[in-house]
Amino acid sequence: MNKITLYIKQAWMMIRQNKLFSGIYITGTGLSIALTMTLFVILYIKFAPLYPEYKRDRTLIIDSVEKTEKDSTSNNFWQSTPNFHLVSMIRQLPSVDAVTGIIADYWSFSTVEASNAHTSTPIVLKRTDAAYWKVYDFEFVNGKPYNDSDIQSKSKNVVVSQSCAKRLFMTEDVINKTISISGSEYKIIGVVKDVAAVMDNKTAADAWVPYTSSDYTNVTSDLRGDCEIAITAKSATEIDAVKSEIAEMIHKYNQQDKLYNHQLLGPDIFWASIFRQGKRLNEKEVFLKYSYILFALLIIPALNLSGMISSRMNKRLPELGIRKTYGATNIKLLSQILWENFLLTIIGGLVGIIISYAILLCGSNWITNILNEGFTESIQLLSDNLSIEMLFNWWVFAAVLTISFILNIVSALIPASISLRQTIINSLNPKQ
Amino acid sequence: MFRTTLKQIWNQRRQNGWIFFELLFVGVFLWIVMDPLCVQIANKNIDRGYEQDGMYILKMAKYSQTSPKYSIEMDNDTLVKLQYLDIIREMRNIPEIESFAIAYGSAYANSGSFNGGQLFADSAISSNKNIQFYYFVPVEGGDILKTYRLKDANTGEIMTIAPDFASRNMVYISENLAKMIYGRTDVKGERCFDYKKNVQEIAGVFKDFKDRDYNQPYPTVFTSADFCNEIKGNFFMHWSYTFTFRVKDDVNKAAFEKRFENEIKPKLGRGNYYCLGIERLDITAHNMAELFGELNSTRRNTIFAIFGLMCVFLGMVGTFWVRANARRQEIGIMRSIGASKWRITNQFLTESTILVTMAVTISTIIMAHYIYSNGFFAHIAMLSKDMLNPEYWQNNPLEHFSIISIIVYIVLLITSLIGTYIPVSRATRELPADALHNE
Repeated sequence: MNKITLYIKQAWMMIRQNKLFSGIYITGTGLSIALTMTLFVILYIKFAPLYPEYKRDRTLIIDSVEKTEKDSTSNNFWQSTPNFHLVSMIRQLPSVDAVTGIIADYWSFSTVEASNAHTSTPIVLKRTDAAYWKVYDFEFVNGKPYNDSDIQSKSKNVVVSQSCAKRLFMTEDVINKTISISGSEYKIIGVVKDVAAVMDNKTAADAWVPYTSSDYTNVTSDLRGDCEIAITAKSATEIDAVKSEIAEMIHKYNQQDKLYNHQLLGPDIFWASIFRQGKRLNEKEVFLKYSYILFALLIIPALNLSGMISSRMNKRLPELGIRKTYGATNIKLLSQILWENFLLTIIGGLVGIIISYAILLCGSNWITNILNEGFTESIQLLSDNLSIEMLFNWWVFAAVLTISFILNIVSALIPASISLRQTIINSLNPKQ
Repeated sequence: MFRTTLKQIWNQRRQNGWIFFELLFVGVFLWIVMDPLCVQIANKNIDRGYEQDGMYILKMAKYSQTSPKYSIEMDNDTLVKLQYLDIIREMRNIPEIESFAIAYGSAYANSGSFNGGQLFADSAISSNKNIQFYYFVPVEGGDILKTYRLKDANTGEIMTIAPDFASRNMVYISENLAKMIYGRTDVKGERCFDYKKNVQEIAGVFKDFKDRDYNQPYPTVFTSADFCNEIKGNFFMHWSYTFTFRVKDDVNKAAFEKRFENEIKPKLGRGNYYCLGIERLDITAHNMAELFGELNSTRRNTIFAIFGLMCVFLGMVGTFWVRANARRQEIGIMRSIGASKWRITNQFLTESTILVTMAVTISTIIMAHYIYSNGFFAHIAMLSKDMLNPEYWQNNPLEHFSIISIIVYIVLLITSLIGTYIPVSRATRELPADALHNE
């Protein structure tokens, strides 16, 4: 431990002596770690169990259904979101814990006004069934969610977010107050804790109403409609069982239909559903894409740092030569160099964390979508884009520490080993 | 000097190796991120073919049947048609409005909707190219060409709808469509055929038109088919007929928007319809680019390009700073025998240029091989390969490859030269005596 303290002390002295070198080294490391950490935070937001999507590991998504004619000479096909008939069919399956249909506004925003107000403001509204509150774990600050009888009776009840309640009434105590959503009167029956805007488009909203309370709910005779489906399996191990039960159910449905075939574009496990582009979902391609990005974010700065370390090692050869003369082994010297560099890398890591928070906060309304391909829902209307649990969590910090460690090893090991191969004579007089 | 520099690079091969490999990696990395970025920028810079500035979309909504404000007596096809026509007339009479157009469905720029169809030069119906159809309703003085300020492909003048447009079953077609089906643009008065072999007359040819900002111009038809020669009352009037308009050039847009919100919007309600407001077309275009991920990929590629360049910059500064320090003795001797500061700086800059040139040459060969094995054609928003306009460099494989390679080379070279110049110029500022004394 004393030795390590000595190495760190020496490294600190060297930082003070070679300010430019240290500055460049720290900035280079910081840059790499900033982007890597931003990437990790984005991935964490997309994949980790976060409020109110704590069951992501056993959630399956169906966003599209395709209908084709059985007549082999026809090329006609119709692709659309599924409908609530499909939701009710899935609900009967034995391995399904809960299933919900969600209608989201993609093309236009609904508007809301408080009963005593004269101006309407746009909101993000979700129209759902009652099982929505079982699939997702919302925290109710006040009141309760709507239930199946509300859905059956097409009741005009609404659940609002804390911030929406405050925006409309300046208080969270809004139960039984009425608001007008796109011209229709709704009674507030529940207030939930805000969902960060960067969460999945199925949960991030200002208000939720029974889907039957809207006039425009499209119910077709087939499986196409206007909702997206989220299913939770009873456990993560039953995901495959749910998938095969759904496949079997669709197979039977197609056998009964003389004219058309229906194909679900899914169900996809939650993380994979993010990367689906129509019929295309290549999980291997996604994995490779992210691996390439991570590789580029690490290898380019690592080469950069290696070059600088290599140049600096030349300057330190006499010092290493003297230590070798007094019996220091290559392993000891290598360990010293790695510890010295680790200090610089850690400082770079801290700088990187600060830069990444700056990037995440400045670009909070677009940064989490930056890796998305194609269709991306706007997240401009909701108030809180990022939550504390997204930014400060052990997983991300552990990842950054690991990355710093790998970067340090990768960038210092090879140039240091090459320099340490020099004989004592050459080391003591490198200019000869 | 060149030979000396080459020798110097060889002598310092161990240190140069690292920066060379970094340049090589960044060269490939930059090629990958700069390519889509440059294509996106090039596509965005293609003339839209219409003037976006000053155009607005009227946003209407209808009360839900369960709303207390809803009136069932007002909700029949005859009445809703009259109500909607009344809204159009109210809008038409606003003094700030220069012209307006009633689009059928979502047939307006940046709507996100695509209405595909086919049009043929002869009844043989030989070709099978997909064309975008913009249907509009030419009633109440609505003029889609004037509202968009579409320009005549042959004269360059802003076009207006022919008075007998609807009665003569005419169509306006885009320049690229005219070239595609006739091979020329002077086709006014010619006959064309839809897929059912119905004859239509070409009323004019307008300059290429882009539906979305990040797309390339698509073969487009502006037409008013039988089903939209007049406004028909229906439950979804506000979705079936979209009102777009242009304000006069001398109108203060911010003041107009404020006046609309406060004075006009509250008065636009008719029957079960009420006004949500107006949206500037440039905002609609921005939202579309956001929604379809075009802004996302621009941001992503820009961030990665900046990252790569910053790494190279830092790498160059670091490497050449250490190297300039290590060669202080040499610099001191050169300065003492009369070499100018520029002469010494130049030698380092040449070293740097050679390294960048070698790295970019190899990375370009790698990319050429990669692109050759994966195919040159990149999918561009619904345009099939044979519909791409060869006049745009991004659609020509060789030109495309050469331009991106040159851009990558220039960007990397400039970054590297700046990264080299800063530490080297610092080192040459030291007096020769001091440099030699310190050694």
